[in-house]
Amino acid sequence: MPVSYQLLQALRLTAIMQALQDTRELPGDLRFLARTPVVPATDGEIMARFSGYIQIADLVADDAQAVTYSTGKFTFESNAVPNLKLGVNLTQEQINQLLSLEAGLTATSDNSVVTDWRNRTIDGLLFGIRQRMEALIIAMQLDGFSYNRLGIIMTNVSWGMPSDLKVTAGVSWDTAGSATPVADLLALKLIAQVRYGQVFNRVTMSTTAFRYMIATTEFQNKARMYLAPNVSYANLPLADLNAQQRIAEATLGMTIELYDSRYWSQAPTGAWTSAPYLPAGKIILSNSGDDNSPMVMDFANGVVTESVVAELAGGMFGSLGGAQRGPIAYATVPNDLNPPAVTLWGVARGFPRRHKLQATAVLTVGSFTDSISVGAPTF
Amino acid sequence: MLTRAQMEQAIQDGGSVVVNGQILSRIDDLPSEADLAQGDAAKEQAARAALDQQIARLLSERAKLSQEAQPQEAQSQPEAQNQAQEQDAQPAPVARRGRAVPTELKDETP
Repeated sequence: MPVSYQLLQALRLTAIMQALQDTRELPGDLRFLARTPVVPATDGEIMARFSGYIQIADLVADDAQAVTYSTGKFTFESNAVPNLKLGVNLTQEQINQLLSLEAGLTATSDNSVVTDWRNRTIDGLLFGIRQRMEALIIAMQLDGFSYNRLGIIMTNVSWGMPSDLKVTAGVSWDTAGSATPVADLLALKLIAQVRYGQVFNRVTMSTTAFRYMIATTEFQNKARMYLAPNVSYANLPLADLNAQQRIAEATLGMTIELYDSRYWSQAPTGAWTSAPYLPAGKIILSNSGDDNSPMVMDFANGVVTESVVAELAGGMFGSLGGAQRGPIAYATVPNDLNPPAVTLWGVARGFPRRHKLQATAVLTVGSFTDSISVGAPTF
Repeated sequence: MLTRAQMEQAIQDGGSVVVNGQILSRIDDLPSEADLAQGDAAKEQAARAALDQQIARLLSERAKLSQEAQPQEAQSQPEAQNQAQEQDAQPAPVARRGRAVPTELKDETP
């Protein structure tokens, strides 16, 4: 046995534990995916959007001809569904390491360590697919998606949100003395309600944006009415986010949820970087009553092409059982086993769709990043 | 506070800007640089300098127009003199029998 593996002969490996990590960089809850129905869809589905007005009738005298008017118009939308795919390559060296671990285990039940590792890898691939779905859904609610990776370039993809629901704050919220976060949010809520008949009851923002908001003079002045008479904001600790959240919800009249989940990606150079799904300076206004309503938004889920052609391809473990919708996972090996490696794949095919254009609004409050730096802990 | 250029960019990108609790979706509705600079001495100075540059540029453009107009006026003077000389050189109208021709009759065709 190689010298480096001899340690495994003496060591009884009983568990694999997650190393200490910034919790924001751990796979977080996919909140927006959980609120968006995933519906079956096909390529080239055409949806029509009717725009027109109901017109008041004219007065017409006897024996006179009435006037006809043109009706509204249809605009057609068609989606091309892209692939969402992720693979993990198990090299020959890693396969040998796993075999060494298996050889060091005695009881049959201990073999679950290797099986668990394989299952975790597959779960990780499927979670990676769902992470991309989450990122796309958030991009849809922000009405802006740019992607430039591995030859795929998309710039400022829009889903047709009205321009007065995509607002930039005139004063960045990190300017505590002059920013007006309460006025900004309520102005956006007002125009959505009056002009589009859409009532927002929920505000989703990063913890950083929330901390900037409660530190502004304007917010503290307007929140004063929700405090006891002999209490001012000078008596309240801004670091107590739970208490501050209750005060802010009373001031704004909307539920506040803090969302800081992040995802990892690897550059072609091999460098790993993490990024938030919801940028720190972006705030989404929405209505909780629209959650999971296919009439508002959905994720169009198409048939995975790999499941259609799997029967024809060699080198695949098992069978996918015919055409399937994702996310699914499968494994392949090179036909000539040169080198002997296994590749695990996760794949889906879909894209988010927005049916109710005024369902969300976005407020850009600054270009700041996390006030508490994100990264691996130092010891 | 965003600059006016940043506000214009936000609108051109398909969005709006909220200023003093009012959502503005058109560039024409945005406050001017002078409005945005009020209360900040440094920004007022910068806005004043920018406006002075605009004024200087417009004045130089206007000065070009005045220079182009002068040659046309200089040319019109010799032409008027030539027309007067030609009129003087024309023979007097011939009087017809029994009909007096006013000497003040002039050809008014342009």
